[in-house]
Amino acid sequence: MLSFSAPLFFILVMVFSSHSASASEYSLTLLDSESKPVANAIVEIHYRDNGSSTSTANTNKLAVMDQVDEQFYPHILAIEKGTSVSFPNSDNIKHHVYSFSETKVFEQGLYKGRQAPPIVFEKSGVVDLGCNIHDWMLGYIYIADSALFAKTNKDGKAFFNQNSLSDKDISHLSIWHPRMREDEQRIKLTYSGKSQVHQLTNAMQEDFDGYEALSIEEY
Amino acid sequence: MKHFQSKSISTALERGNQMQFVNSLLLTCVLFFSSDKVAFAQVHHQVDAIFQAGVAASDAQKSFLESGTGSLRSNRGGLRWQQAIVQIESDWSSSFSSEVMLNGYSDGHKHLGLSQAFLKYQPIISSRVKYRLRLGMFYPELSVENTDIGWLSPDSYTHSAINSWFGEELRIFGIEASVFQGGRKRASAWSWDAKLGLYKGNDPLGSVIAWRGFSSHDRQSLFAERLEFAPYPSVISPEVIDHPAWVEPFSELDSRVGAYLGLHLRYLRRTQIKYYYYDNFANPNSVNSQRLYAWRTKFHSIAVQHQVNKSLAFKAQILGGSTLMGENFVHVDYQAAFAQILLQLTKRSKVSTRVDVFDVNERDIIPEDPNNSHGSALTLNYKYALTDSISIGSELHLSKNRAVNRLQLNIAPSQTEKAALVILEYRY
Repeated sequence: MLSFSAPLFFILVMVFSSHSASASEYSLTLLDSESKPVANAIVEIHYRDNGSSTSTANTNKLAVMDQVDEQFYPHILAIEKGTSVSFPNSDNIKHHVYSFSETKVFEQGLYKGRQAPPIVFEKSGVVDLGCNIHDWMLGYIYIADSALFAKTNKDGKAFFNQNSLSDKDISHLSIWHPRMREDEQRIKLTYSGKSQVHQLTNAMQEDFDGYEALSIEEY
Repeated sequence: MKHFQSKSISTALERGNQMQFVNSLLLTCVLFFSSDKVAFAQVHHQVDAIFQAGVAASDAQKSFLESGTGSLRSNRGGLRWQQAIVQIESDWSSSFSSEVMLNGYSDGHKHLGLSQAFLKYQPIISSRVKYRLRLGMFYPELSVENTDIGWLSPDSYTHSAINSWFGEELRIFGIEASVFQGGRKRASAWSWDAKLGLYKGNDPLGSVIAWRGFSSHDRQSLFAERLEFAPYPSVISPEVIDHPAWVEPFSELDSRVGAYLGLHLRYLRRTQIKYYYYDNFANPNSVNSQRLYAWRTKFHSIAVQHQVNKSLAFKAQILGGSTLMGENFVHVDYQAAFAQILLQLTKRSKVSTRVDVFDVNERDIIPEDPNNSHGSALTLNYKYALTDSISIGSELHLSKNRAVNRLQLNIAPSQTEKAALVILEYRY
């Protein structure tokens, strides 16, 4: 009996703790103009002194933007300013990644079975990634000012641990998704301390996930 | 037919002219490179290779590669070295790269040589409309079948009749300019790519389908290789055509520049259509001292690929054109098409079925040299990936074809040719 009760107890603790954690969690739910949840949006919490304290910080953090089936994986990578990003190549063909975004201009050849050196993203902002060989490849790196960011899940929810927010002088929240209209990306939301829902006013741009779903061979 | 010969020899370009052309092409390549002050210290090479060997059983006519009238690569059974292909891609700078394809075969006239070698210039630019240049020896990108490295097909060992012919006789020695726009960055489901190619060489294109007819195989002709066909009496007789029983398909004979136009249209990554118009603008009266003629060859090609879902895809191609040699000595219209269904059974196994039809119709003034041929073929292929680099595959190929000029060699014009292959493939 004891052999069954131990794992049962563990499961109960896990279930209980996941619910109890929600009590100390802050969440923002993002809905589109038709009230459908928006997944993979980046929610960032900005606080008043983060500009000076972290502007020159090198976080020593490493993130990965992989190339899988001629796609960037993940499609959207969110990192803290100062993070190094490596671009491995899980395909057996060559890729040539580039960015013309003001936040970071770079290009890097990615060869089969060879690791290219990581690239440090020092400035906050958004980097649009492309591949000079496979024109359908599109990916984004969102570089946040601090570690206070989260990606929305399929229910449109981004979670933050309120304990990590308690000592911060929070100024505002921002939301970013590549298909949001530009004027909506500039909206500053007020942090109320209580979980909140934000609905976009304008319709999002058309979704071209069809570029990611299937694969046809190129010469 | 002697009276035709003296009239037709308007230009007698020697073999040396071909080499002179290649030398000037290489010089142009060097100038092309040096203009960008390429940082040679940062050169990156990527080597890919495919080695295929296996066992074959065959019931077919003696192969054209052995001077027979058969349409398959071999009529022999037993162990077979299918091919070795090594592809070297080198990035000389962020804009300049080169690709070299080396092929090794156990059959044919040459056993080791180049099938493609070209430079590519594709700058990284922020504009949505981009461009690319290729210079050297290469295939036009008109196939949706030959998408693997070294212009192999990932779907079958025996290529379609259309692309078997291109593998034998078609190669560009020149420059190709592409202007293209990917749809994704401008939030569109449609991408396009327009191409213009200008080239020399490749003047005898059309010879083998006019005499032997279409074939089905994966044996690509190599640089400066001689392609054999049967010694048809009407072809080799000094009294009729007076042409050798072989052709060097990449020869330059008339100093004229050929051209092709290509247009690719792609919907997401799901559907693609490629249209090409090719015209070598050859002077059909040009003949060299080896008695190789320039053939005025032109064709339209439309290739389509559609991914129905993650496991089911469809490919098809249709070709129509004509070729003319001499003062209407040999003049044929030709049409060919294939349709192929591809099914991914599991992550490691896939099966494909392809149906080919092909037809060559005579229009010339020499009935003693018959050129009519037609046929159809069925190809079934199953491939299983044992590991990421080793796969095993089996293939059945059945071809029913008729070539009237077999009669000249006392061979029945209508033949049924069959081949079964089991191939072990290693990929590097």
